Amino acid sequence: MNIISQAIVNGILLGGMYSLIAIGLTLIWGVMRIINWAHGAMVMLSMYLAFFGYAFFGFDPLISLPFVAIIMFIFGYFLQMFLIQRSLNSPWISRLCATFGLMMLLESLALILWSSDWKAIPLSYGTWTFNIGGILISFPRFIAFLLALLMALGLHLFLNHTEMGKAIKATAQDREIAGLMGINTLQIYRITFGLGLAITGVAGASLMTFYYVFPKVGFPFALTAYIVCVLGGLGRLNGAILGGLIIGVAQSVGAYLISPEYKMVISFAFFLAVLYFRPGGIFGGVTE
Amino acid sequence: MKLENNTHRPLFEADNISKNFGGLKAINQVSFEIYQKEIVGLIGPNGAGKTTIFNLITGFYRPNKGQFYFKGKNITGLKPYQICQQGIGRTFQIVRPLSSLSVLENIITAALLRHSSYGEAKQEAFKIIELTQLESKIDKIAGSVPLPDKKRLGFAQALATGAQLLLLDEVAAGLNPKEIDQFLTIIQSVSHQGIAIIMVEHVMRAVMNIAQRILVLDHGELIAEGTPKSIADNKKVIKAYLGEDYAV
Amino acid sequence: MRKIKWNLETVLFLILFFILIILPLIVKSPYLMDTAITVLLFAFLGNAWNIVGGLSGQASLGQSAYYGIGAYTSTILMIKFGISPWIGMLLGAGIASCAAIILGYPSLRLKGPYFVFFTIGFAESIRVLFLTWDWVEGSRGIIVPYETGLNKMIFFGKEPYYYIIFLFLILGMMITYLIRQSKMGRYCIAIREDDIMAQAIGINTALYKTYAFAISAALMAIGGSFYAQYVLFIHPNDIMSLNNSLIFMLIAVAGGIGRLFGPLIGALVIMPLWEYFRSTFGGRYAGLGIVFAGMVILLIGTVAPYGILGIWDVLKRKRTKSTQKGGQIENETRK
Repeated sequence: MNIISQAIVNGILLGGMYSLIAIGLTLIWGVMRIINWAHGAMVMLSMYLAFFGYAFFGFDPLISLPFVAIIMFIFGYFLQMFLIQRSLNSPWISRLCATFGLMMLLESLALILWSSDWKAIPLSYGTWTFNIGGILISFPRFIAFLLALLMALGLHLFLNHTEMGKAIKATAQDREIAGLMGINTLQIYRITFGLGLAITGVAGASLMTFYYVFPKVGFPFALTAYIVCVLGGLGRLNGAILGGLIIGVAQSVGAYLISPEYKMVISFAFFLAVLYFRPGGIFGGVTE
Repeated sequence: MKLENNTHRPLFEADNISKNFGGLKAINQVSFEIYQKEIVGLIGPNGAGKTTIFNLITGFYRPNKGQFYFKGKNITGLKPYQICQQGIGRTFQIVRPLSSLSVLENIITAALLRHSSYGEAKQEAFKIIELTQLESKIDKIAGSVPLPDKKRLGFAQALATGAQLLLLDEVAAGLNPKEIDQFLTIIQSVSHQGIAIIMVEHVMRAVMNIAQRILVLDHGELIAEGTPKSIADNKKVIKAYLGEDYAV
Repeated sequence: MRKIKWNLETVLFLILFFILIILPLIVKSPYLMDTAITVLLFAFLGNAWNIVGGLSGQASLGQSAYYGIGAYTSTILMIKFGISPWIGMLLGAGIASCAAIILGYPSLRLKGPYFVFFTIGFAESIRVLFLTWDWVEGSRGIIVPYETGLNKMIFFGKEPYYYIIFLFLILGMMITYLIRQSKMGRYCIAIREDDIMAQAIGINTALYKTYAFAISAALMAIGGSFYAQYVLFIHPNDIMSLNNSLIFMLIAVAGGIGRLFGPLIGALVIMPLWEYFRSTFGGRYAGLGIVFAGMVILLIGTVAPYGILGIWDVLKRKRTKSTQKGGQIENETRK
């Protein structure tokens, strides 16, 4: 029984990371109705940035974190401005191609620049664990989890209590009317995309406290993030959070009960179940 | 099974239709009949449920209670493509042309339902094109033609499926009076061929002149039914529209 | 059959086909032959993708699963039961079709990104299934024993492979052409343009999408069987990868989505460069091919959504406009 509890706790901590990654994705979808297939690659990029923060400046990834977030924001802003925006005005296949192309480009560039070697940051607190009632909790994972919660809270406050945030919400609800109300929707898109990537920046930097990076690290995170978003309801922030936790636990327990390789299959099974019984996701997101 | 009326069997019947969305009663115990060659107007304030009725009839929604009968057959619960195959065609409030195809190809695609060979479908399409006066537009890309043509295209497509009952959803919206009159002429000629038509309309000019009968829907309920003249004088109808702008 | 219009395009295509037919007689380098076979194979697979993606508008990124099913079916049947891959290929196509129909069913109601997720998910699941399935050697992969023979579809030289895949490509394109001319083709196009409108004009969208899935899967499987007999080694991570599915889409989209010659053009442009990168660079620089592919997809997504044929059309329109003007002046002077 203890092992299952351990698996559940691990799952929750893992789920926090999934939630964080999923939040950026669901935000972009909610406002721009586009799925950023390159989202995983963005996480990977953030992780490399944090790694180089350590390799060149000796920064702990949590110190690099704000810088990574800002760099990713700027990257996202201009990416939207020069690339993604064009695909929004093109036929349906364009959105798919634009972000998939970006994913392929980033992953292969990473392979060329930094090789497929796994890179990790040795941290003094990297192996600290504390013991609560027989369950081991990894310190860095716990910190990352707290950061994820903080980030989610921060985003919630931003969207509901600032001018910019409310403008973003308005644009998400109805692009045309937001435009008529004087909101510069193009600018909102850029900021939203930048914000979405900044959040992956936070996720990536946090991940570097206990994980390792390699060019394709983003792919399984991305796939899981999509499933989390669908589970929680596309466009719903609280859905992304809850969905992340659920998937995290399901994967963790499932990996223990069945086999680690089946992580993706389990997530996929969840995905199917959601689509069948509750297509809008747990919180009834935006399906169109 | 409904008892058959010997005198004049209705082509289409809605029997006690109700539809809820969550807790909201969108349609409440609506019943009406449509006869062949009739043009019936379906009017009512915004949000009354007119398009919902169309979606219910054409199978995009399923009623919670009640039945639909077409040519004596119970068609409740059939899928949209089956409803079309039974002989009920519709247009959409927001036009939905097959954008990358030409106007001609759009109509041919619709005609393929009853004419499996391309050649026959094309012949049928040309007949419809003549009827709907779209001759000058046949090679234009459907996505790029102006709105009045898109609306006529939608109408032509519904016709091309061999519909015996046409559901027209606000065909007059967005058209100027001249275009409306043009459209009405076409609708009338179609009606003369024996096709029954239900028209949802906000533009009173369009429907009051052409319809033989009017149904009035308000908050999901049928509040009045009668000739255009009697409806125009009906106190309940006027009350339902009070505070509502409508074009006459 | 419609009358063939004789113009610049027809002439170009005739030249292309002529070159393709006599290619093995001119080219002797095994590397170039290998590239040529790869081009034709991916043109074939891109064409199969186009049936669901281009024609019916269902962007499936799970087609590599069927590619793999085909490869595994014919290989297993050959190795364990001694059945000729020619027959195994057809059986593989049958199994892949059935799989597509079954797997396609839950996806029929899915739209946009949901559909794409779904296809990625099921392909990944199938890949994991094959990876952990002992009977098909799972993660060890299968090496096809090298014994030449027509009935084994294994040959010493590359020429037979070239002509086989060329034949398959022609057959595949003919199938696509026939579909487009048929009621099924027009219905699939309608589904692509507007699923709801298609239903409103009497189209059983679920049925036609299923047809498209099944036919595409069958062709994919045949391509997979060919691949197995050509490369003589199969492994789930190799064949059933998302990367492969992306390339199938890339080929079709680069040439011009939904166009009959799209995949062939796309393969002609992309695969030689891809092969060049793959064979010249190893290790970390193997990624250069994907960098290139990624850039192409990105370009298509942003500036050239209709691919190479789309650009060709634009150029053609500009040319026609100027010749039209010229023609007008001529007519007026004749009056």
